[in-house]
Amino acid sequence: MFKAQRIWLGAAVAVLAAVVYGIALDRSPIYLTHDEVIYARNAYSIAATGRDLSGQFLPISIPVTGTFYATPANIYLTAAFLKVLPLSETAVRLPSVLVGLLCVWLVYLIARRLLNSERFGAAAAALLLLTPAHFIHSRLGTDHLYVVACVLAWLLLLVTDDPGTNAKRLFIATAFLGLSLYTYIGALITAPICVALTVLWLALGRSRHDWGLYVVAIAGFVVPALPFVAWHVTHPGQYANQIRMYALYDSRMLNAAEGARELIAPTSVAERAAVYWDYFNPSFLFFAGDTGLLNGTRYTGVFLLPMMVLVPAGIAALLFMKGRARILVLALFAVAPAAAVVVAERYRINRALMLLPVAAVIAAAGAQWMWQRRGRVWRWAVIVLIAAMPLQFAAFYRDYFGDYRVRSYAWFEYNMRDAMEEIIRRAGAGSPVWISQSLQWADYYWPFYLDRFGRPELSRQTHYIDAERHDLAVIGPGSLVLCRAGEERRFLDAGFTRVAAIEEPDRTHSLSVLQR
Amino acid sequence: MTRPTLLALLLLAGAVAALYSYRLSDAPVYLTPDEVVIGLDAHALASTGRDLRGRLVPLYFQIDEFRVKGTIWYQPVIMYLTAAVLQVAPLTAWAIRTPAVIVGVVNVVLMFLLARRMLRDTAAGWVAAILLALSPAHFMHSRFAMDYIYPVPFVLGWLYALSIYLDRRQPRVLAIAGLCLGFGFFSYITAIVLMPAYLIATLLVLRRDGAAGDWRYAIAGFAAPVSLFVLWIALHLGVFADTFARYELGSENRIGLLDRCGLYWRYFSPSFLFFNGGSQLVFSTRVAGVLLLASLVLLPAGIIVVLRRAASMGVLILIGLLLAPLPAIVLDEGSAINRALGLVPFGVLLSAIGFSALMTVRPSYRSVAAAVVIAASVWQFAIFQADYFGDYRRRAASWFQFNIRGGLAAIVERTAGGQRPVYLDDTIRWVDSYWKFELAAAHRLDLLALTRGYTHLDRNVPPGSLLLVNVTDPAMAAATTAALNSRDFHLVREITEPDGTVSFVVIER
Repeated sequence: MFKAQRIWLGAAVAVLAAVVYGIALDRSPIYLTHDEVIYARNAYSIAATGRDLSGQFLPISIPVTGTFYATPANIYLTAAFLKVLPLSETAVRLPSVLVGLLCVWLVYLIARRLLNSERFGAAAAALLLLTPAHFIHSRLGTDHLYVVACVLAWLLLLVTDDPGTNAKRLFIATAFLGLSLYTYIGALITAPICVALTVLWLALGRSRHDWGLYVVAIAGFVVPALPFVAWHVTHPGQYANQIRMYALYDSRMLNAAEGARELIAPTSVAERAAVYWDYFNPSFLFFAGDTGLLNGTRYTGVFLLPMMVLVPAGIAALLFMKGRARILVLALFAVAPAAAVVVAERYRINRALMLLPVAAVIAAAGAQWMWQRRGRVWRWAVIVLIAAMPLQFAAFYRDYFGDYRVRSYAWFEYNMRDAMEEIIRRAGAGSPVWISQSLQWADYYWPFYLDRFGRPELSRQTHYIDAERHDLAVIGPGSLVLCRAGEERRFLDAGFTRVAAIEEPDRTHSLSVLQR
Repeated sequence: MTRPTLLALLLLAGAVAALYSYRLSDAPVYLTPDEVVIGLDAHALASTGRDLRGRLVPLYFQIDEFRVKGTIWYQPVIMYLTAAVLQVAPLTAWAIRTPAVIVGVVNVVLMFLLARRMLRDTAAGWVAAILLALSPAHFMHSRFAMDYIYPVPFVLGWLYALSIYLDRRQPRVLAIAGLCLGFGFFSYITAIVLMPAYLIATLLVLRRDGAAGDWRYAIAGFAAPVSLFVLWIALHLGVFADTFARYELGSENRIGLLDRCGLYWRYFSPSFLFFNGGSQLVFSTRVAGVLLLASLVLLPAGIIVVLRRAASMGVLILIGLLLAPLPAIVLDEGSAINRALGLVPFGVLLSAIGFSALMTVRPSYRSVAAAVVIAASVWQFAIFQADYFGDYRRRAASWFQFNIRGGLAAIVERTAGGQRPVYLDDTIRWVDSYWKFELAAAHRLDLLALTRGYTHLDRNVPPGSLLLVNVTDPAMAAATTAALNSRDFHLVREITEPDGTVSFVVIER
């Protein structure tokens, strides 16, 4: 194929991928998760004022709620989008689509170099594009995918250099690892491991005795990491809060060294070994997927079924290959669940998203190995496996925009959007708004939708109420109330009238808007 | 084999026998119901040549004691071996557990011979033998009067004979390999599936190695003993239905295929294999894995070597490892090492392959490396053993039904040779089986006719009656206290557990 033709084909595929990934972002996932709302609010604030919601100017770490701090990358990228787009579900999620497609392109480049084949490089990209978990996370306005892009950039720079080692590229490669610290909290685990893999990479190379390269590699990581470290030095409580948030150990009772000892105690090691192993459980990877409906549909695995053949074939192929690049890829695959293992969370693919692109590269290697074997049956097997993927993906896609929305609405905090839009539509200039405290995260959703629908002034008229304890009689006429359907009886008995029953896609009445 | 090697092997066998038989009566802390039932049937067989149902020298043993859905059929090998021991030993816990010790020792010897022959490396043979001997799962299962460990010597024998055949191509050796599988068929219920699977794997290896023509010797060797099973099945057509019912294989409550995949995968979890060995305290202490930690490195190394070299024996062993958990998966049981003990010998063999391959990097370090692996294994085993004979007994007491036999022995002792009515708390599971065992051991089967069960403490029992009460049941404990306070009964003995808690009391009217 001529170069120009390739470029046009690539562009067409990119456009198609962008459409497939970016279409109807406000429709599925069905609603915004609270994480998306929290990040979006901070992004909107930074886009408007340069300050986060707590008032910090261009912060490195953004306090979110309680002991949780968000990393800045996706918030700043979202802020950049909100500079030109109005606040909406689509605008909040578009940055993730971009990052997801960036990962696909990086995988193409990596596989093309590793396998020395344009065709199988494209195959790797297609395999990632058709990975359900990658598709899902490319449509969530959260930060889990960002670290993957940084690690893929690191991998690409190393693999492209092979068999040589260029100091400048090496520095840039590990600099991406340093930058990844600003993308997702799991990078605190992933990035140092990748630095260690870089050391392994150097030790396996021709320049293994050039100590300067090791210094360059570490410097590349340290330089961008310095502001991150400086921030934590000036905010010493944040580390302990994060530890508590993920329940690694009791940071109130134990210092860092004692906590580390607890983490490597035999029972802890045994539990985490079990968690690690379960991330490669075929049932999880190819059949059932994530246990939560935020990160999976439960009707497909993390990967599509043909990967069940291609990934093991790829692992076998890489084991027989020569060269250090294959060792790096296999090692990266092996350590991909590390962040999830540290927090001992099973079957949470959002904590191990690195598995996806690396598996795509490995699967492409498997496909190439099968294609190159003697016997037509191998080639037919590759054709059937690859051809089956769009078919299964189509079924997944249909479910994703269909019944998945119905199955998952409870995971996405119910139809806050329509409920709040209803109140905003009804609320006059002086109408008090009362929101039940039983609606978790409503104190984040409400300001988001006020900004979304251009009624920020209503925040001054808003109160949050514990319907069980509050004397409802004091709520004046004209007040609007938002509560769960299950608690509306108290309000109805106190003289309120239901003005809107907010329903879910399956007609379940989940929320109520009432008025005195 | 040189004389020093033979002497060392005999020494090893002796050391393993001593280690495995140490405190056999009280570690595991008590007899399980399965052990009791096997002991009773083996005792009847040893005494009369008939099982408890009166069948003369049966092939399979019908068990009704558990009162579960369907009839249970026990395998013959353990029954006949235990009966052989009971011909010369009294009916005691250590006597009925001794056959498992013998099997364990045989396994270690066979493992040495097999690994040494297969790898042409004596150091690897010693490493394999030690890894097996000190494997927590192998150690624990060589101390039960149950048949989980019994397939292992037949599997090792099959592999040993097959390795000889692949070298020398002697058909009679292949027939012996088949014979090992055939006899192994009667060792444990999972062997009914696994031994034919191993036979099929053997045939595939023969085909791969260009010896397909000799397949009939393997099949003949296998078929000879298994033909007895075919004849027996023809006379007991209901056994499949019994077994299906017993394990609820047709039930709607069984898990789906996806969950089975997940269960299967977890049998290879490092946590299960190297750290906690499963959740059932009968078969694992939970503080040691199925295999020793040395295998954490050696086993993956062995698997990689097998995949790269694809030698027939290596591939066969890898297949054996992968097949090992299948019976447990069929029964919907996760982390049940007792149902997947094949993981142990195949895991150890792959570890030995890994060791041997790693030693090719620095051959001069072979002996040192072997010594280091063995020393590390001994050290880890010492820690495991200290817990096994110590706190594990306390943790596991409830899993072994508590100290029922202590209570029953107290009753027998109290009768002082005379005839007294005996009342046994029916809330104590399998108490009737334990009672029969106790009576048979004490030669007091005459008391059986005077024994009754009860569910509520009855003060109207005849004076002199002895009652065993389960005071872990709060209602029973309260009733007992009231009865003792009323002076209708007096306390004969409190039966305590290793942690000092009282689980049963023996009271007298």
